[in-house]
Amino acid sequence: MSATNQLNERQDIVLRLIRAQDEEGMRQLFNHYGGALMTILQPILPQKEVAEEVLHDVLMKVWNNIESYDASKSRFFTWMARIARNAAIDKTRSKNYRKNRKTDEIDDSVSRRRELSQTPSIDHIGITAILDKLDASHRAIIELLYLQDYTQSEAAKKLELPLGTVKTRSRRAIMQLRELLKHEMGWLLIISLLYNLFHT
Amino acid sequence: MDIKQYITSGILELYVLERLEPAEMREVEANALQHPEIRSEIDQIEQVLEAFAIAAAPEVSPEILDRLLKEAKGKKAPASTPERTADVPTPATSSSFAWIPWLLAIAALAALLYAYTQLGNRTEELQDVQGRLEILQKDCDENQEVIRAAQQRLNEVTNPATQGIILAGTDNAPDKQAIVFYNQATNKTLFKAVNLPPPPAGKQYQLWAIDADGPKDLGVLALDLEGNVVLEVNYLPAVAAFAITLEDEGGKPAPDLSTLQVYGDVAG
Repeated sequence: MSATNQLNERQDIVLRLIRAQDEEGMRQLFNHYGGALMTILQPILPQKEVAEEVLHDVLMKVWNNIESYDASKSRFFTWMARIARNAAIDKTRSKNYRKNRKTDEIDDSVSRRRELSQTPSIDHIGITAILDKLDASHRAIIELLYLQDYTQSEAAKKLELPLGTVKTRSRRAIMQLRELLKHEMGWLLIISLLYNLFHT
Repeated sequence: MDIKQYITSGILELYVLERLEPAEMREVEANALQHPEIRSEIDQIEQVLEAFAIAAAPEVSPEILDRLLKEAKGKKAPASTPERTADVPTPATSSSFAWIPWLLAIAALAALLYAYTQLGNRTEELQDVQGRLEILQKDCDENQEVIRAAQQRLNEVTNPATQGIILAGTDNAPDKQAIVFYNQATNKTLFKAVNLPPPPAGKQYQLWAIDADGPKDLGVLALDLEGNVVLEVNYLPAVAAFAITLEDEGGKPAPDLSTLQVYGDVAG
């Protein structure tokens, strides 16, 4: 059994349960992917309560629209992450959100972007712990393209790179992340096995 | 199309990140359908980002799940399906990673304990070895001293100026024998009992040096004197003969010659 199998097995079981609209499916959706989706949501929505509110909406959407997931196009998580990112961006654009934000932090989205390279709004320890292990140039790419909603050309401008370099650097960044996570996934696997041991 | 180059170009990463123009997105999708290698690479990239998101996952308030379950139930309540019994054998995402520090801490603690006990054992062993080394060192020093003393005795005995005087048994004790090494150049007198059986109870051997003035006391021999011990005794000049008598325990100022045991003359 490998980490890949672990991810796939988890995905298949959760999908099957949700398609059957089994309540257990919702529980496992939340347990297995809730935190991971928060990884996507929190950099865009730093207020935890707001991010959790959006997470709730995203998971409800996944639950209710499972038939629109096309397994031939992407993995289950990729699909959910896209829904989550779009929902988060929609949230930042909503009147209500901006009104609320303005009362505590003035024009937050602008200041947040400007500070990204030095002190990213990504203050969650789990994320920074992993990102800190990446080369600085790779880290910036992951932050801008995966954790923030920068377009390719926005990222190029921000990092003062030619557009083509953003592309190749994205690959190298994800390659490095992959190497890094091999280790993490090893842990995930070990812990899963331990968990199974205690729960069977 | 050079698939390898296409894969390494980074376009697939940007596709997964949704950072391509809509036309490019469609193009990648079409290519993925045509080439399984591309599809598989896309899946790999998705897995990396998925694993990252899982690994970095924060805790989520459990109340969210309560609400979700309530809403899901309110909407639809299907009869229990067979899948329900198929409990997913995977841990909760966030909690599984929350275990890592604990697991690491426990592992580190175990390692520390192990190292500590190992250290204790090693220290004990070291002390043991050090103790034994000390004993051996002492033995060695003692032996060295014995050898040195023996060497010195040998030098004294084999010194050409040393006279070896055999004290032969008298009529009182014909089998008894002792020897004196007498050196008038170095002013040394050595004594060795060759055959002096333990004296009777209440008696003790006493050694005498006889010169022109008569017998002079050189002391009593230890009751348990061993035959192979070479003793250094008082030196007196111009000794003519050495003798041993058997006196009452503690010795006498003057010898009782009737108890003479062994006797030897100093040569010219």
